[in-house]
Amino acid sequence: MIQIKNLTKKYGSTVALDRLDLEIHPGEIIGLFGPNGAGKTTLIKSIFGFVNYQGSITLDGEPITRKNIARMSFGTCEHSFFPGINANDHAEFYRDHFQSFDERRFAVLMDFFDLPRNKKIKHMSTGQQNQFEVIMALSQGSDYIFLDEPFAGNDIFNREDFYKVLLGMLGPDETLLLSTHLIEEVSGLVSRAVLLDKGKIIGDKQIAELDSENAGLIDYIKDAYSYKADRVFQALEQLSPEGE
Amino acid sequence: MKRHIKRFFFYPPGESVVAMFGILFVTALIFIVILGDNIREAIWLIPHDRIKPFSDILNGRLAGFWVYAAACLAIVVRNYRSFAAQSRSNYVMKRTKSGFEIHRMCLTVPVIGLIAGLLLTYLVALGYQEEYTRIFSSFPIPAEYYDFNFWRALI
Repeated sequence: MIQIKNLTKKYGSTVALDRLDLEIHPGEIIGLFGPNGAGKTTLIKSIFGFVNYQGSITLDGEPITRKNIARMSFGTCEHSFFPGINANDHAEFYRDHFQSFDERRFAVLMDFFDLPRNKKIKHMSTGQQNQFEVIMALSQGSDYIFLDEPFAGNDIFNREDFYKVLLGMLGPDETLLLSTHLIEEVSGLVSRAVLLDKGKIIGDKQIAELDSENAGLIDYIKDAYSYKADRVFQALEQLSPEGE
Repeated sequence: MKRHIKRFFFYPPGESVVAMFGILFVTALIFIVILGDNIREAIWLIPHDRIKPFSDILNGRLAGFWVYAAACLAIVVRNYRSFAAQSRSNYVMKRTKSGFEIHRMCLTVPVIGLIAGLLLTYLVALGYQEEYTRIFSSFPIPAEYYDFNFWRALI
């Protein structure tokens, strides 16, 4: 279990994460939602120790260090592959550096996305690069997989099929935390929704709970963010000649 | 051999070890060997009635080595930057078991190059000492004139 206690991160005077508490349990598929600047990426980067923070983050009670960090993988829209080498060389690198690299999953996903094995990643299209980024995060053989806006720029057909493959592929103890704006698309995939706003968790709900309440994920999110349904109407009204 | 080097990644993935050594070789050739040739000139131009100690002739004439050393340093910087250029592959490196891995990749080639350059500079200076000895051994000069102070060549 990943346990986050009292996590605070400041960039100068801006508070990106504000005394945040969160537990991530094995086997969960978590959707991390929030508007731009809510702190989603900062939260993930803090878990990996890519940024300095105040508070405590532990993995099964231990601080996250070189000893256990390989139990987590990270796919990001910033990309973290090696642009100058091809997919086969990536597999070789991961084989050498990550003991539990999942060769089979790598091969299946490469075929699923129909990605070239001998092309340098920097020569692939942005969509293919996104797919490759996700493949490496899923194939590292980690217990906790973090994906931060992984499909920005990918077409909907690829994404929908991929979610299906992902659901069938993840083991019972594998944990996925998916940070995305594509709420509707992932609503059938996630088992828990965590909502962030201005560095704070403003909602945390199991999808099963929502189902039992006959509530949808989108409505839950709109409610949590106090979404004003009439704001479009108001804006248009102000723009109309009568509104002047 | 290429497979072997690749497997252990003595340099950042995607970077060319051939290009790195190429840069170092050309820099070494220009600043150590060719510019170092002015020592030979200095030896040959000494009037035989005013022979100088060898250390005085060396006097910073191989300081071009520092340009070579700067080229090594530039490769180190380039290597580290490669993990944050175009993508953040340093995120992957931070997940590898050994914290030294990224340093091994960034430092191995330039450090080998630096040591090889230093050795080359030493050999160049030593070669000229041989020449000095050969030319002036028949002259009645004090023994300390032959002293070999390598650092005098560099600073």
